[in-house]
Amino acid sequence: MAAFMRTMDRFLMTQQSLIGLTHRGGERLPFIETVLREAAGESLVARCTIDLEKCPLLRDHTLGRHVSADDPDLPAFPIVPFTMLMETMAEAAVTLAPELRLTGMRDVRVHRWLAVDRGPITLEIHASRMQSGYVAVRVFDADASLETPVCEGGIVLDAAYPPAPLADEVELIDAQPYKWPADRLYDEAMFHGPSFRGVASVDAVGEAGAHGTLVSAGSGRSGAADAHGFVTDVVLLDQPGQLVGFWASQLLDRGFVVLPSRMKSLQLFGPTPPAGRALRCNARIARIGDQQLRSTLEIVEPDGRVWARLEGWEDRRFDLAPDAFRLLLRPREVMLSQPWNLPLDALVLERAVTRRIGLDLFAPGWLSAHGGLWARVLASIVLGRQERVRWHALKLPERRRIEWLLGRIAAKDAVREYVRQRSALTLHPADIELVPDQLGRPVVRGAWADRGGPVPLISISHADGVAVAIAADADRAGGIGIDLERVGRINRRIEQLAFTADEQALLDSVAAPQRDAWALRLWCAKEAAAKTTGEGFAAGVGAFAVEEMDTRSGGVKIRFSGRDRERQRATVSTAQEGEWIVAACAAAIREGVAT
Amino acid sequence: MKPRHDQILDTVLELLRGVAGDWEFDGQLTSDTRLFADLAFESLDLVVLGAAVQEHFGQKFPFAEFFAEIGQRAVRDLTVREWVEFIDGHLQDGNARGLSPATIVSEAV
Repeated sequence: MAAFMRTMDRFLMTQQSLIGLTHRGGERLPFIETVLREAAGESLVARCTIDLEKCPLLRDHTLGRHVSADDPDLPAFPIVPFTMLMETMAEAAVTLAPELRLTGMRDVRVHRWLAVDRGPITLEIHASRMQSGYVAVRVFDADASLETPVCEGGIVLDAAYPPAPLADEVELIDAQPYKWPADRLYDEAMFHGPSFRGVASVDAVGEAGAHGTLVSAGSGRSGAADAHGFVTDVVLLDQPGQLVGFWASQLLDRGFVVLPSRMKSLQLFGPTPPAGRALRCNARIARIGDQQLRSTLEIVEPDGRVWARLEGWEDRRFDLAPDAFRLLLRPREVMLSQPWNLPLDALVLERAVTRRIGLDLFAPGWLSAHGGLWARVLASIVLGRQERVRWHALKLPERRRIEWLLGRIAAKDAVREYVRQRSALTLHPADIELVPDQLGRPVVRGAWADRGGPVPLISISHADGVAVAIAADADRAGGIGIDLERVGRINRRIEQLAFTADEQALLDSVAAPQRDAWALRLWCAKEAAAKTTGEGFAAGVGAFAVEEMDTRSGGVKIRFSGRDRERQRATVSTAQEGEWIVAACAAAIREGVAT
Repeated sequence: MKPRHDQILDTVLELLRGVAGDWEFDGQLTSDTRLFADLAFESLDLVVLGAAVQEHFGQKFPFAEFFAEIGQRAVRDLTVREWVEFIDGHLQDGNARGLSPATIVSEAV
């Protein structure tokens, strides 16, 4: 009970401070910002812009959290709550029928989840009063389409609330206590920040549902604008859906991250309960196939009567890789990539940190499904502020964008591991910024580096859904390069274009079954050597020439020519692991020359 | 007979789609599409595309010089149009073996 009281106090205090921030005063409702067209009492077209500044509540409704130590305001993935879209629709309806009370909603469907990760979004709300007490509303993402709504539904209004029924006591079936006590609920199982933390305790869960205790923050008053300016209680109405989330995290061993997509009906039986009132929440939950849940949810007043009843509440289940879920909760502690211990024989490379990550970590298509939702979530966890600008501007085929992101994850993890081995620092991925130098090579930056943390050289490569990165000592090498390809990309016809006559003669000494793999090793070796200079292959096929190769050790000697680097040589380590060829090269520090 | 410029463009676009494999393109491939900046080409993709072009037209092209010239540019990139002009400029009469681009790419990659 003490834990309950602490949670409740913290929640209410946060609410008070946020109400101060969002208070607008006046008559206009927050989501009816600009009225484009209105036929009084009949129809309405209005717009509003949503971002983190205007809607600070969104800072507490993110997928993922604590993404940065050096940039504490850097948000994770701020996703617009289903209940905020319900509020948007309710405001349009109340504008058309100010003489009535909001008493319910019907068939609210979200076709696409909205987030403000890319900056402000503009909603266009179209409302038509079909009957005296029924308004049909469609909400569009104005920058995306004014033909396909992102959500739609019907708003029910009446002169008075219907009489409140007694609560439906849900039989939980095989009831069990909840795995987390009240004060650890949100640390362990959910992402919500302080102002959305309205579930005070999960009292019991079972096969068929859950019982919880909620605390009202009084953030909405049905039918009349309150201090938030909302006509519904966006926060309190979000809580039953959270109870489903808590249930899922205990009862489901996969697909336990859920997002609401539909609600068949909402019935309100009275005004929003006052702030601080403890309410019961009963959830009757059923699995529909293996990707959906359907629930009936009730918020119950202390007298045992229902305040709000949400029926046909449907959640979409998402199968996050367990490591991805842990990364979202604790980005500072978790690495998605794996170490890749390649037989790299040069001294600098032996001390280097090499990490890899592949699309195989995720379910097929998972990162590109739902408008790239989960790729965007991952980006919001691992990228720093400047990198996010670059990520959002990256106009590449989807698959290449995802490989770029995987490359960043591998590189940041390589730097994190490198730094961990050499100092007491434990870094968030987002606090390691990778920026290109004037030669195009990635350079490691960060506030921790400015404070004297050990900064390595870094190189990244990706191919066919796999990314690899290497971090190496900057005081032992003038540059680092790594290159990755999948076996089979080079054959004899391609060889003729990729190599000089001398190089092809070297390949002639390799036995036929190994020849194509060795051709690819030479290619990767040249690329790795070229990357140490930042010029890459574009300097020309002949600029980085293979002089020797050792098929036993995998060593390849490269001569750099052209420009000012006549006579410079480097030895590249190459290796084959399964179907992957990797080459890595550390260029010598050239005396008196800044590389 | 030597193929017309627009026929070469069609061929190059089809070979490009083959090299790009199963990527989903946000935009249409056009003459102005840049191979590195827009398609995230890597150098090996360029070489694979070159090999597919040689295979299709049944002749050799001076790709080594072409690639070296690209390497000297301030912005190291090239458009589909430049690629087509390069082929047009070096294509000999009577070539184009008539193999379909799709067949060549599936053989080449």
